[in-house]
Amino acid sequence: MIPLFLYLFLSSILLAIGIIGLTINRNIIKMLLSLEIMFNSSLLFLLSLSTISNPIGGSLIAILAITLAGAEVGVLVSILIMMFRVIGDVDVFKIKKFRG
Amino acid sequence: MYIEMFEIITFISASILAISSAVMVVKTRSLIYSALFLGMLGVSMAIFFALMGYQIVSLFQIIVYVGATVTFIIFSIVMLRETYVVEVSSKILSISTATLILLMFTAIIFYTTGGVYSSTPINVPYDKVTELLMENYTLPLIIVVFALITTLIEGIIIARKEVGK
Repeated sequence: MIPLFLYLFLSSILLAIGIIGLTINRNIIKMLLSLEIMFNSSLLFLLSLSTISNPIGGSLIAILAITLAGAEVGVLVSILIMMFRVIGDVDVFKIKKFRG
Repeated sequence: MYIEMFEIITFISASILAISSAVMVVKTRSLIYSALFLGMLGVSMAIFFALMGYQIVSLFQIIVYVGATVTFIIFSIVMLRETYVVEVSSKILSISTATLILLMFTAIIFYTTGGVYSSTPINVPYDKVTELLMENYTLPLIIVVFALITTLIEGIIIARKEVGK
């Protein structure tokens, strides 16, 4: 029997690591990977909290969220491949050139 | 007694795996290795879900997230040539912001749960999950299907442009 506090604390640590990765990198792929860390931490948060309230609803939302994360990654990856073809780089500071 | 000990050992080892792979995702300079460590993070999350009793979500995480999403990221990195990973110079601000958020979350969690609740493995009935998904969650299911079709169309368009080049 593991205390719920430990699961929530672990997901907070993962969220903090994701925020650090999101803010210190300029490469858009590294930023996407850091966003995925934050997604995993929020999924752990959701499921560990739903054990004490509504396990079936939590598992349904988790299944839908995992599937939507796959679709979201597909959209983001296709955008960054188009960006790489247009400007030849994946630096977010050069994204101004991508407008219009 | 033995089951509880096994549960605690699994939790500790999965926690170490999750935190170390998350740190490696952020710290590694190679993008391929970062994506591989993200896959390891997904596997450790699946271990946590199975420990809490969500076996079907755990399988879904391994099949869909690690098997499809992370593989998709790895293949897209392969499509790009090796790019430089540039970090911003002021890391102190981002690290202090993340530490502040961690402290706030810890305080909120401690005041709301306060160590009272413990996560015993629950038993989620799978037939109830599928029944609810088909009856009460029909609209979200349709939206998810449309989102996946959109991703499929994008993949086809990118592949066609690559061939036309």
